Amino acid sequence: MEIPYTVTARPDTGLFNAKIGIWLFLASEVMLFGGLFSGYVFLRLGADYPWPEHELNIWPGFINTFVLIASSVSVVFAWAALKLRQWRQYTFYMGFTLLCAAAFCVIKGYEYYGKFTHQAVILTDGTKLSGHLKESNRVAFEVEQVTFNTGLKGHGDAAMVLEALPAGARLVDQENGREFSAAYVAEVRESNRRYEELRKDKARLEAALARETAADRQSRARELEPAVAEINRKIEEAVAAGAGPRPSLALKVEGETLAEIPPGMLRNRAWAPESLTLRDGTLLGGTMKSEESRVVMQVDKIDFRGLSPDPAKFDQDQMNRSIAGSMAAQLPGIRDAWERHRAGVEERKAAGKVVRPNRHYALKIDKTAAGEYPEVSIPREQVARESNYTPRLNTFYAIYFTLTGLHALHVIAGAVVLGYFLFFGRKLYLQNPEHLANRVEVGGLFWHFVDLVWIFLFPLLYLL
Amino acid sequence: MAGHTPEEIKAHARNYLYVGGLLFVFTIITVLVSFWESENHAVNVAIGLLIASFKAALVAWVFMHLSTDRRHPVIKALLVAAAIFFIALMFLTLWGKWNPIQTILS
Repeated sequence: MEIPYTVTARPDTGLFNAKIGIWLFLASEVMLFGGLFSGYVFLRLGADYPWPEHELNIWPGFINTFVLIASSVSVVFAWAALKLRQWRQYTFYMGFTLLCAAAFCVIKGYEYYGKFTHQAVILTDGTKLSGHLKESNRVAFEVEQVTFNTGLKGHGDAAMVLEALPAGARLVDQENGREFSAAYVAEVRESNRRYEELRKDKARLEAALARETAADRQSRARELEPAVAEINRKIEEAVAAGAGPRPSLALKVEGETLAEIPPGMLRNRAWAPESLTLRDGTLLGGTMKSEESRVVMQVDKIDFRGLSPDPAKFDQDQMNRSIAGSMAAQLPGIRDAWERHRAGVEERKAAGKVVRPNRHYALKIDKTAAGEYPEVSIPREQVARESNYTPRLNTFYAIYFTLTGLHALHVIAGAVVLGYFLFFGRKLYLQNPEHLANRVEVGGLFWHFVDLVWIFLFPLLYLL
Repeated sequence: MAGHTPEEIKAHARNYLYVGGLLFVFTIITVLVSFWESENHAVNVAIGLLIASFKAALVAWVFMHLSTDRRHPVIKALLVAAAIFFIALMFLTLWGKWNPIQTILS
């Protein structure tokens, strides 16, 4: 099929069709990013802690801005070269554009990788330690009992608890002595479902019976009575056969009982000396091995913003009383860091400069003489939650990854389209060069839009 | 399209380079300015967004050919519609914070 108006303008619109198409699409893209920018504004204005400013390393974003601007210039040159029928120049400029797109993705990947391999540990007093966790980060727990939530609607899979426990552990249902397994859970759930159905039937019948009795229709009511008796008998039978509402299973652990559970498998703030909660709600009862469960981390930065809502009142006393402050023996640099930090703040104040909350709260820790960041060992009870620098850490990183991730997808999509024009455009160029020029113009419009979005993203996320 | 004859394109090529240079310069300015902290951070945000808007306008105006294409009725209609919806989107947070019941009670 011949697509009309790829080269000449359509008489009624005055444009070639693809141009209207791309502007329509860009208008919809404005809505898409507009919604997300609006979400950013909402999160930022609603944040109950000082919003991180200048938290990200500026360099990758800064260089990427240059890369995208350069590619924007080169894509418009590629289009101009086509208009002038200069194929060689076109391939050069388009190739350069694609190179820029690749560079952008590599830099972005490097940036993301740094975040994924960097951790934050948030203590129970709200202090946030940044750094690198030791790989042996596990909660060692002597499991005695497990309360497994079967749920009436498919909640809770046997897989997680079985994975959390050591391979040599045997879980036994305390009520009937049967062994716990995925098949057993399915069985219990099926029997729960049957019981639930019978119970609903019974409720329906009883309601009907009550209605007839209230309306004084004795004969009808009497007709219903056998059915009620029947359903009651069925329920009794089913219960006798082992069916019944078992929203949870109480399990005893036999055999190997020492579990080493990765913290990612546990609910936040769900560890206590005698119980743990897995992410699916399964409760483990027993004893935590405090020594083996300690969180060991190389700390490069401490952020006190969760400790004290008022930055002006945050002082050394408050820091000393904090959990991180009590680690001074392990963190030889913390006192120096504090002194330097304080001096820096005072200096700025003396010079009449403004001290933003972020400056008040952040304490950069020095490397030790051995060239490594000091290592601290934190009792598990003092850890509220831990996370890599991923969307789950806080709203800032959530919106950061959403916006930059969506933008990076646009870069990739744009590069695919422009790459197609470069590597498969020769045939069309020989047939109808104006058609290819129009295609490149349209692809270029999209590419400029992607640049335009980044022009806003860079200051909003990296600078302000 | 108007303004797309070979001679005009050659004349425009220089503009594209100038605009690219301007964008570089303003990127550096944005970064430098962000290290100056004003009493009220909203001022910093306003300056940052102002520069970003200027850069975005340059891209749209020159690279996306809006300097000439914006006069086209179809594109103009699309731009106006997008702008209206975009502005509405930006005010969502304000509307979210507006509490009509409180207004009636007070």
